[in-house]
Amino acid sequence: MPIQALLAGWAPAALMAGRLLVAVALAALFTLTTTVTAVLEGFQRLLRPFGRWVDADRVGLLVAITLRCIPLVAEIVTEVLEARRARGTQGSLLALAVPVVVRSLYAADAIGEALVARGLDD
Amino acid sequence: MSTIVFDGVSHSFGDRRVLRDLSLTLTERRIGIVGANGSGKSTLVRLINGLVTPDAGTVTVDGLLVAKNAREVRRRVGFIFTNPDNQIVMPTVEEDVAFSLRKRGLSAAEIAGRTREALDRFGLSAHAAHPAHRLSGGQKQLLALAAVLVGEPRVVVADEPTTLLDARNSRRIADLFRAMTQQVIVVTHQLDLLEDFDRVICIEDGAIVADGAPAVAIDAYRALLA
Repeated sequence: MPIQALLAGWAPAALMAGRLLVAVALAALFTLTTTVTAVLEGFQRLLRPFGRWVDADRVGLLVAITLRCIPLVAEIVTEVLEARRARGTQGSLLALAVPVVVRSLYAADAIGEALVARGLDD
Repeated sequence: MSTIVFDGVSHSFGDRRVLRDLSLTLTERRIGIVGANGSGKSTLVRLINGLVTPDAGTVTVDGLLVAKNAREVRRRVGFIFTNPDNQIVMPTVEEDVAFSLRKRGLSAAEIAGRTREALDRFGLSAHAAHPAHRLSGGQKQLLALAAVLVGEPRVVVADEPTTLLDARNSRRIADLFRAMTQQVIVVTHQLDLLEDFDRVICIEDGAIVADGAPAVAIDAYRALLA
């Protein structure tokens, strides 16, 4: 926002910030009121005309797993923050970023394995 | 019961050999696998549904070559992981169970019915619409079990399913394994879980060192620990 203000003046900057706020609020409302299965079906219907180029099922799954991963990554960050505090390395950005990335990658590997085991090997 | 055959299986991760020329035929109803960390047990069970493909040798399930018919084999073999968090794909409990029934040619009503039944059986009905990540560790493992069993596999393979659970929850999961009509293959460090199993196999350094009745194989494992 400060950059916007500098480049385009305060009014457009405030407008932009307002738009972002509304978008975030709408997204929260959406996730509160819509099941992911409904989203998957919506994507399938939406993408049907493009079926030759886009695999609607896969796009829907991508959205579902993205939503599922938000609490998972949040948990990893919480645990790493706790570990950082326990070891007295507070404030070090490196001590946060490195373990979070490494553990997220491990989790991604494990989720991929589970997806295959659950029959999504296409 | 299904017949699972390992024939001359070897596998390495980089320089480390995890399985050495292992041959094994599994036909019993309840089979336990024990061994130290890094002994090769997890790799062994991952071969059964093709999560790992061996460097040498073959694995078959009811005569189906796992390397060639992975999809068909995975429909017959359900897999339970140690950490249910990695196994839960969908954001809510009922959606995750229903996810196992995708692409099976079932109607929406059938999927809903079977999902409800599975949640009922595992005492998760009250949580059907809850976010999966809010469940307790024990409930998450129950959800993982429900999501696997709703697909009606013939064989259930579990890799340390109780390692992250407290005593009460691990007993609950153990009881559920005992009550299952499916063929069950469990890797575990919880030796009392295997007491009434039909066969226990002890793996050390990628090879079978004991194989037989639970008492015999577990004694051999305890002797290795000493």
